[in-house]
Amino acid sequence: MDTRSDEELIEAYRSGEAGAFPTLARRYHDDLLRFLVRLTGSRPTAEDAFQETFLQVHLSAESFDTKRRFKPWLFTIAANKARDALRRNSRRRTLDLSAPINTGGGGDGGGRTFVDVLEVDIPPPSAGLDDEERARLVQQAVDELPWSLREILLLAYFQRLSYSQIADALEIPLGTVKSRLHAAVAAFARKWKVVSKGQSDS
Amino acid sequence: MSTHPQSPPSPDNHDHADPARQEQFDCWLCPDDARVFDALIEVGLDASRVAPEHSARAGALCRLLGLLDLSAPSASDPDTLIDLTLARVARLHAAESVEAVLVPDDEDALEALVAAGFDADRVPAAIRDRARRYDQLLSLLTSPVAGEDAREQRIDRTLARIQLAVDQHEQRMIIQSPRGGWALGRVRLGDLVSVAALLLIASALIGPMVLGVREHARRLACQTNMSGAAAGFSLYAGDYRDRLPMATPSIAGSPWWNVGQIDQSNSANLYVLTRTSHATLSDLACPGNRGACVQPVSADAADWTCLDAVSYSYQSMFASQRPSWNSSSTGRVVVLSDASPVVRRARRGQLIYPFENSLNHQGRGQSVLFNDGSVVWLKTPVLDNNDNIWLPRPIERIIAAMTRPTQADPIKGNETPEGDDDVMLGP
Repeated sequence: MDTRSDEELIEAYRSGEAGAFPTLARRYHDDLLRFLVRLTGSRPTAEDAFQETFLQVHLSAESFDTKRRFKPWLFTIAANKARDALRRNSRRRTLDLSAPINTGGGGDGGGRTFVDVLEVDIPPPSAGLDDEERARLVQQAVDELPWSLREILLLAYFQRLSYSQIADALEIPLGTVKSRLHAAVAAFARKWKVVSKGQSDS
Repeated sequence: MSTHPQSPPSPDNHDHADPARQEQFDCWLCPDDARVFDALIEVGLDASRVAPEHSARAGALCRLLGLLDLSAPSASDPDTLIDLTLARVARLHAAESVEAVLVPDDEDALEALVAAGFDADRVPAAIRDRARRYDQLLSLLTSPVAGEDAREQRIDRTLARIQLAVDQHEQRMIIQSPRGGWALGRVRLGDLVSVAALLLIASALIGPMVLGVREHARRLACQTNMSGAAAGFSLYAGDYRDRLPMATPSIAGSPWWNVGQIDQSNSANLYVLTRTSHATLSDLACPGNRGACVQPVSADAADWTCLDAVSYSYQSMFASQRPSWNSSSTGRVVVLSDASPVVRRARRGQLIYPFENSLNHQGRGQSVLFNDGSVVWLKTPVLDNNDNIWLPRPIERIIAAMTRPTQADPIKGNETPEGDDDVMLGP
């Protein structure tokens, strides 16, 4: 097992050590694929984006600034490739992303709403729905988020980065990261409430 | 659900200047959640590390985000995806190299020519010819009509006659812009003809060279395709125990050249490689084949539509006589080559030339792919072991017998006719 850091590996690859590249690809296989499956909602699309991501890493290795961290760079490329892959896959249904959703109870019918997570029914991991059904509903809730929210939510969750690191990776201001991420968590909570409630009603 | 009378949290003052701040979201975290979430983010989403009074909210937020977890995505072998990715990177790398470099001999010749002050005669004999060609090519840049040989004189005479005729008949034909304001002032048609003739001369000189370069580029692109196909074969073999792609095995005596009819077409076996996504149709389309097909005609296509659309000939897939991809088990054999001219002529009912090269590259030779993944350019269809890649061995034997030199003294001068109906005239 190669104990060198990601940044050292990409540096080695740039200097001609071909073996450093497969090491990086293997190191990130699980994490990146999980992130991409969640982001795209489809395993084949995620695998396609995975390949495109590492092709881009190969193409851009020369321009990577090794003073920065590799992981946020990789995930940001992956998010872009996932978006491209989804665009190409035009057969994919497009959901009414902007359509208002009746959250049931407390909806004021206009303007912004504030979500309180303590009011959202979130089952503990081992309770309630069977795993397969829950996975499907979670994906449905994620799929219904607008792209910008979905991207930042999953980047934050799968990378466990601080606000400043996310801002650095996405090259957007810190304040925008915060407000967008708050909105993303709130939107996800609300979508989850809707899809899981729909499930228990039916 | 709680509501909040003020605008959503805007933690930084510079935020107001940010156009992205204008994003309109239709829901927000309630302020308490937002505060706890900020704290959570800074501790890597670890609920146990936030202040105890926030543990209920932190727990709820972590449970919510925990929904995003996926079990390890190991439904298929992770190595397959990584190998596919690495193969694509390798192909990209190969394609970049093809575009970027001269062949080593050309590189040496060019360097030697430059070192010799562009005097080809001072370049070592072994690469002098190449250096001369460079010299000629480079001289086009500086003096496209230099030289006094007959060819140039003929061109000059022709030009003079054109000029004369134009002067006589178009003397007063003046070309002007509608506003009469070109920087060059008046331009006579005769001048334009001179320029056009100059361009003609340049193109006459460059033309053959450009054609050669084009063919060379096609050959390189073809070999890159074959390398791509080799990667595809290799991955396919990895998935299918060293087998080569096959749709239906051929049966002795049944046709295998009816392209488009899957059970009578050997190209359908090759097409499998694209149906399993181990290669694309572009990988199997030679740039030298004008009829090549690069996009599937339908989503469920299983073969090319006609012989002309097939660029590469593939080893026949008979049930009991198939080579494998791995050369260590069956020996090194050719599995793919530029399209067979023999099959194409025979299919059209024309006379075949057993030693003819593929027509993909103007009959100059063919790229072939061996089952060890190597791609080679052959100037003849006959391999070192005398195997003609277009033909089965029985036909090769017949041709060999026909072309063998006649034995000395087949008639000794003392033979007798076989009967009274056997004509034998002599001496």
